[in-house]
Amino acid sequence: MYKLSQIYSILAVLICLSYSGYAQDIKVGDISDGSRSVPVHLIQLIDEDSSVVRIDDQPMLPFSTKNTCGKCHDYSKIRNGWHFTAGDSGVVSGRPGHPWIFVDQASATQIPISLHDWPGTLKPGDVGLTAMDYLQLFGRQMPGGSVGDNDNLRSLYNTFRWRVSGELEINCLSCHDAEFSHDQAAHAANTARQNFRWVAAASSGFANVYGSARNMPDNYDIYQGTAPDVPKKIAPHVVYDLTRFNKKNEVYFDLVRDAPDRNCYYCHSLKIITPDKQEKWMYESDVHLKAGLNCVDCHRNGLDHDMVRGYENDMSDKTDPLTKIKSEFSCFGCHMQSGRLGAPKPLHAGLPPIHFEKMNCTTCHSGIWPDRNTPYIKTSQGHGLGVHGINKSDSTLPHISSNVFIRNEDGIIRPHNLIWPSYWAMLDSSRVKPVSVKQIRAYTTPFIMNEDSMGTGNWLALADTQIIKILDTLKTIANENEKPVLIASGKLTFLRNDSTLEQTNSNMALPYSWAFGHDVRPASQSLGINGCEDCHSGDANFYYSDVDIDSPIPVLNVNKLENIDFMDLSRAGTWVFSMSFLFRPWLKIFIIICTFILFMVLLTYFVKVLLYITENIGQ
Amino acid sequence: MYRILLLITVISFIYVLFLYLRKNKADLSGWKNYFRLKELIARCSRTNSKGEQTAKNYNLYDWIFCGSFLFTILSFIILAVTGFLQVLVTGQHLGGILLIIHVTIAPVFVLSVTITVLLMVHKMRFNYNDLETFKNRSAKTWDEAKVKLFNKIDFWIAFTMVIPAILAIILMMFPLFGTYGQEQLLGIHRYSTLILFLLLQHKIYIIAKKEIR
Repeated sequence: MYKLSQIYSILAVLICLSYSGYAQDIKVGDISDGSRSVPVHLIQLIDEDSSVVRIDDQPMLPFSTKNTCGKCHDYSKIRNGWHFTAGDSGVVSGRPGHPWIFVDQASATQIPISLHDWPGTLKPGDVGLTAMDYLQLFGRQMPGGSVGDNDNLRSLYNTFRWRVSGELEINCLSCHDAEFSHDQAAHAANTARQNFRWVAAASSGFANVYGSARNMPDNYDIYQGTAPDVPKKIAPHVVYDLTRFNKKNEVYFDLVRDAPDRNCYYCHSLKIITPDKQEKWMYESDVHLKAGLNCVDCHRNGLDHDMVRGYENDMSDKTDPLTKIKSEFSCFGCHMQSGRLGAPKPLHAGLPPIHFEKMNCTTCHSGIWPDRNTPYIKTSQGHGLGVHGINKSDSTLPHISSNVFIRNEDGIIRPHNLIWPSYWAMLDSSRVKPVSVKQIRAYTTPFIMNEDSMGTGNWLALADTQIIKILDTLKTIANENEKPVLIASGKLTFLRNDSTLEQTNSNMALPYSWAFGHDVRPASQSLGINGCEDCHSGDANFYYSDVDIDSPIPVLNVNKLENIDFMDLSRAGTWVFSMSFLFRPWLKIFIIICTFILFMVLLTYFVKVLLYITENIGQ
Repeated sequence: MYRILLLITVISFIYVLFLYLRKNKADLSGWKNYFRLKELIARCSRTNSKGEQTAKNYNLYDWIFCGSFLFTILSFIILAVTGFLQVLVTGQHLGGILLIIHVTIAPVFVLSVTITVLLMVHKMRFNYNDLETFKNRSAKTWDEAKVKLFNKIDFWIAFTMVIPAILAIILMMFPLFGTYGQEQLLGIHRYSTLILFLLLQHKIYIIAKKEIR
């Protein structure tokens, strides 16, 4: 007879074995047989209830990528990828990147927001945004995951709403769909309408999604599909192109392993606001793409989708076993070490080595050539480029300056994009607590009555009287120890006791900036190609390009800074050093003459020694 | 590697100074004399082949010589401090205010060293007396002849080293060499100046020895 403890032990072992067997289950699509051909994806669509979507279903439900793609690929493993983990616990945020930017022209608000721990950004919850608000606003250019399918990041407050909207699963098609009728703008439109579970179907080339979950009540039942009896409120539903289904209810997906550049561009495009870059034909794209490479040739990933971001220390803070290989995919890795993809080793003739200690490759090679004024750019993530119905005005908010050369904590100067936050907040001793962006309009609208009749999307300039009135009104919701403030133009603006305005510098109002790598210019268009004077001259744009202190309010004394102000350099020292380059040609000539004299003297005495030896060698 | 060598050199430099001060009980009068113009002239100029002073009055030549020699020594010390400090402390290339001082002083050094060499080179040529002294170099006493011989040896090594030190930096200013070449040129500059620094150290050592004896 077995003892009870022995039975328990056997059971425990069996459970462990079954669990480990389950955990190590490798799905058919996740292991390669070595073939480099692209597998055909003729597959059945599976909805979120794990049922096959059949041609005669009523209603036909949207397919779920978690179940459809997840049948052959490990969704949970993919879910750990860079694009899908923002906000997850234990995720390494890495170098600060492009934030989401909450913009509200009517309340003079422009806030960098991120679920990553990037200093200078605020969390959605800090500004009063729920996970659902966040997805509705910024899901347009998120490929899903993150708060979209992570229960832990949601509040119970709107549980029923989530049942109506569904989860925003990873939309695999965002990157891997090579079908030309793939419509990422439909993805964007449907996130704004809370149609999260319909997003993947909407973006595919074989389905259209109509209606809006946002307009449905919390008790709306997607299986019944009964819309409230209100005109113009259409229940969300999908209409498939039935000709794409075969007899086995299979649909052909034109999927590729390596995401096409055009898919990356939907979320990673930018437009430079300068007169000579008004139209697309005036742009050169990244030199690597023109040379025939694709984005994913460098920004690689495995099944874990932990994509190489490509900056020098990208891999230094990760415990990835493939760190060494992944770290080769940076400028330095390809061009100076591995030579992958035929990367030429740069000569850098005449460039003193100190430049490689103080600057990054991108400083000279990326972004736009520095001009007198640092221009604004419009980006996909900042401005929703590519989304239907956006304001296409060049002056529309948010205002992102680029390139601003900033010295980072590691002492290296890199080109950055930069944004000045602007929002209303409560100051409690040393802590700033933003007023909820959903509430603030109630306090600003009575006073900011300016109209943007031209549709510029620009700041509605705030007069002092307006600021005073708004701050005065905000006192009504301030706690005892709180003081309403406006954070803008790098300063805290608040009311004195005599109801006049005062501005002070504050670290809490500092601009948020993030280094970038693209577009890369070729060597012939890099800084220094015209000589040292590209940077080392008394008026070099590298140091002295104006950077706007962007703000809805007039600033006390200064509304511009210069690049050098972000470099932690002595102005006098830099100017003196730059001036030395004026005399450098003469200095070179002078030193060459001196060296020539010295050399000739040495040679003369050397010849004398030789003469002495040859004269006396026979004696 | 360079940083370690530099550290050793600096430590040995401090040791030489310490040696001098200890032997002289921290009496710096000898040094003061050495850097007096009169002393300088008496030591370095207008002497015949036997080492006897020939000039009675100090003329333009003497002033130029003394000035250039002093400028050479002073500018070299400034260049050494500015050039070595950052490398020694941070291990990085020279930059910031130190670089500005370094590149400002460098032309002064080049000019003064050229003048000094032109004025000294003939006097520093080797002769038969030096050969005899060289044969007796192992003698423990530091008499005038031995000091003079070592001064000459130091001079010619310094003269030889100063050319690559200057030339390397000048070549770096032209778009002739790539990153690897630039690093090599910088290496030449660094090591040749390190040798110059060692020679300065040796010179102090000789002075110290001579004063001691």
